[in-house]
Amino acid sequence: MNGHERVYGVLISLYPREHREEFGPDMVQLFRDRLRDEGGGMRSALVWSDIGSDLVKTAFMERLEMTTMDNLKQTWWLVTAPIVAAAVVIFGFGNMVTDDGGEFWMRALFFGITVAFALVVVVGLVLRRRHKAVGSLIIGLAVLPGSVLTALFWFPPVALVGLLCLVTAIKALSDYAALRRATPETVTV
Amino acid sequence: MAEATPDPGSLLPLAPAHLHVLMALADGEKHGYAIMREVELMTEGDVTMGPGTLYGAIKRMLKLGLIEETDERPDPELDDERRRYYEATGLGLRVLSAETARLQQLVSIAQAKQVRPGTAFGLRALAA
Repeated sequence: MNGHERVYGVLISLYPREHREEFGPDMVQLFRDRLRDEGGGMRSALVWSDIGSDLVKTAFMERLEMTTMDNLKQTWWLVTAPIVAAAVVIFGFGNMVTDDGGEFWMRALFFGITVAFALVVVVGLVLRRRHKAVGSLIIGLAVLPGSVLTALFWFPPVALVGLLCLVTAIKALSDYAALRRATPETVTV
Repeated sequence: MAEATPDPGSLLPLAPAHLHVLMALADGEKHGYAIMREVELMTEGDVTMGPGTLYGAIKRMLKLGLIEETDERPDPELDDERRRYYEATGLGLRVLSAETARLQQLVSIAQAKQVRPGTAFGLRALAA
């Protein structure tokens, strides 16, 4: 496998996993054939230009096709999880830089906790790609403490983030429970 | 119980990529790269199917039952065993026939209305 094929092999990860698993090797083979027959020097750039535009257009279409309404109903919390994580970090940062009379080190510590919380959510999202149940559990547990914001703050935007944390956590943990019921042998925490 | 075969008319009009792939497979099984080459040849280089377009079309056509994967190899000595070959199914060939008939009818209408290049309309279209 040469450098061009390696790069193309990495780029096809833009396609949904199901599509990649079914046709990934064939797509790399076709790319190899084209490069062999049409590539070499500057002509390789032309092949890349063709293949690149095809990749961007079709990877987007394949992903769009996978995002059916049924999928959205099932996995909306995978979208809200990073949103609430980012919102809590922004809230923590705002709290740290705003001089509200409290000790700075306390505010910095709170900000550090929000960053750690966001990192755990990111780890959960990445893990969920391969280990769905474990990923859902981590996301649920990481997002759950954020719901305390609802109880502590009545300032609407912050309370809303807290509420979103709560429903995201409930959905993630129920997803974990459902996956565990479906495949108990695959869950290893 | 056998699944009912869909009416070819219900699958028309065909997406251009599906039409090109079916046309390429009309005279026998081919692997992905051979399909791509055949399409290029048929369209005199106007249509080049990238891997994403081609295998996206193949995926949908397999699902619709227009094509199927075949184990046959035209010449195993000359070919890589890892390549997957596809052929048009009976339904695929019927759909291709119905689609080309539909297009032929369109061309006849275009001729009757003189909207093809080389006619008075075509010259007006060029001038516009």
